[in-house]
Amino acid sequence: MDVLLLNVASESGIGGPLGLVGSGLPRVVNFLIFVVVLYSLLRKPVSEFFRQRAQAIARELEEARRAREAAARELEQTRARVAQLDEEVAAIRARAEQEAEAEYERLWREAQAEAEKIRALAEREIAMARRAAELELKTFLVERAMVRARALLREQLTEEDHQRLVAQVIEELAEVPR
Amino acid sequence: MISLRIARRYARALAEYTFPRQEHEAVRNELHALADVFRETPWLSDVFANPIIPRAQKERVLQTLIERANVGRTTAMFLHLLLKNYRLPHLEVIARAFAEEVDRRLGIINVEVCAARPLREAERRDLHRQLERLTGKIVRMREVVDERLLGGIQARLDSEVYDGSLDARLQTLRRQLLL
Repeated sequence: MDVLLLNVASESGIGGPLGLVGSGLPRVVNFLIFVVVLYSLLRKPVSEFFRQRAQAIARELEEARRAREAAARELEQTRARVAQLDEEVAAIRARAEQEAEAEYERLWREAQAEAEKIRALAEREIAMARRAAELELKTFLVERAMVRARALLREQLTEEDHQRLVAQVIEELAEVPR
Repeated sequence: MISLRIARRYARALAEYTFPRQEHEAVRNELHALADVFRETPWLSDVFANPIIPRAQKERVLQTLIERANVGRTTAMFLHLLLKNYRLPHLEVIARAFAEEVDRRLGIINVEVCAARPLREAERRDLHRQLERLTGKIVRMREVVDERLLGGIQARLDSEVYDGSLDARLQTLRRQLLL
């Protein structure tokens, strides 16, 4: 374009006789024409571009504002949550302590009950073992006494004793009702 | 082994036949003697129990036995009946059941008296009298000296036992001590 305008100016003789004109004016004119043409050609797209650009920037600014507000709200909420967090932690801790205490109580009661059962069982077993041992000892002593008594009786029973025993049986039979 | 119920059935039937004819004592004695022969001669029961030996041959063996034992007509008939009914190998049980049936009908009870030493005559008489009073029957007493007994006597009447032995008293004392 620039070359074309220069050529046009050169061919038309502008700036030829007038030194200043011949050297600068056409160029200035050329330049002005160029500017005008350029302006006329680019005015709408550029203005449209800048308008859109301005709208986009405005939109972005609006979005940024909204985002900032949302972030501010989020921050507020987070601050509030953080503020509540201590209470929640304290509540959780208190609840955990209560539960732990209850669990401890329950386990303690169960352990005591189990220990009581084991103690009762052990006592029963001891009592049974004692009774068995007593019975065994008693049986042993009675059996020994019986053996000794039989030996003594066999050794010491006289004919008179035999007669008395038989007479006693006959008397007992006499007392038995028919 | 024949059941006691069947043996008693034969015994009752024989008693029904012999009592009106007053043959029960003779038949009992004859059956007892023959039962002894069967006990002392085990092959005799085997012969009568053997199903391979023909009936006629068994009849001949029985007839020989009857003739040698010289038993009466009623006993002979009864033995033939037992042979016919395949009960002859069980003669011992049937003879014992018949003896018990005869005793029962005569009101006799058998009592076995065990003593540590032989009873004196007076003791035997008193005991016999008391047992008859107690049972209300005629007592046939069999005395057994059992040296294992310490003293006193035991009287067994069928299923009942009157235990007046010193051993029984010791056992009672033992039970009391163990309680």
